Amino acid sequence: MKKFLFTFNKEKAARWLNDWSKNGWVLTGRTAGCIYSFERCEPGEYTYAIDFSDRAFGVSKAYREILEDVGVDVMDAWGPWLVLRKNAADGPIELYSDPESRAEHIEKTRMFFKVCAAVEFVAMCLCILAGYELDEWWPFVFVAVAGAAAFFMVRQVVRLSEELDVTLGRSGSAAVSRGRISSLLLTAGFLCLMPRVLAPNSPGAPIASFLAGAGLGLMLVGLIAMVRTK
Amino acid sequence: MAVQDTPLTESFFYILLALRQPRHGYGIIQDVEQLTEGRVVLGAGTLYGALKTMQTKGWIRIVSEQQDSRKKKEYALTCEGIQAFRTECGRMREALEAADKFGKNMAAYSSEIPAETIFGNA
Repeated sequence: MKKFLFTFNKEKAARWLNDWSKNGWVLTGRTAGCIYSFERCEPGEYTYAIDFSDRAFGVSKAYREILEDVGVDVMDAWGPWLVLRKNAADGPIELYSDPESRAEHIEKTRMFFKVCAAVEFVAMCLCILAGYELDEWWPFVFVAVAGAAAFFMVRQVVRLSEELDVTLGRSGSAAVSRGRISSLLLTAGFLCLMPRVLAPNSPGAPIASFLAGAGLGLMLVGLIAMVRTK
Repeated sequence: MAVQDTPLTESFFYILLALRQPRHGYGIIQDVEQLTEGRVVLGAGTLYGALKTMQTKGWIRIVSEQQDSRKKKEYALTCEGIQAFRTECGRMREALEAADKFGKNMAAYSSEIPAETIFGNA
């Protein structure tokens, strides 16, 4: 049986896998980071967790060794996203035993999303340029895709900032509100782009161009605000 | 000699103490559990992150690693690592001495302090 799940939220993914395990489906593999293969088995035999590796691809030998010692098996690695498995009888998977190391881990994961969002923004700008240079409409489809991807990345940055606050026992930190403002700016900027993108030959083109320029400016400010969240 | 600005976390302290003799990862986890009588059980992620940081700081190094053998990586302290541990002990000793010296009679106030007292009104 194959199931599809695409989420950046590792707790959500782990809960999903553990639910399947309780219902008697064991994970046999994962492809492309989002297509999971299951097989029938004893209910609740395994417990799963998702972890974020310190390497861009896969897991280091040292970490794999430590994990094996505590009975955790690295089943799959999609870039830095690891699926970990342990015999349920041996207890739950507790990777981060103190708030400081958990906070450090959240910050590392958050940095990954900040970088991805910045890359998506650059890709979006390149697609806009390509659309104009080639005088075609199809690069603008990628503009929408890249813009949407950047938005989802920033959402993760906000979510992780909130999680960081909870872990460190502080509330209402600047990071979270800055993250939300950043989301708002990116969305508003993106919407400003849309008239120019969707109707390149309409009579209101000069106004739309101006709006698009302003939109890009808003997105850039939003991006800088996000990168600077601590 | 490295100057240490911030206190070590409890996990870091016990990992350094566990490395009073070279150990591999699981050995560290077991020893720390024993030292704290089961109170501190290091997570795999916590341990790995700490070992990486300590290697970067030059506090520990890897010994007895053979590239393709089944032998596990063992970690051992360096002079800087021992120094970091001693500095932390000094910090904690100073804290406990202050507590012993001045912390005998501490006044507790409930939350019902009159507003006049807090804001200095006549």
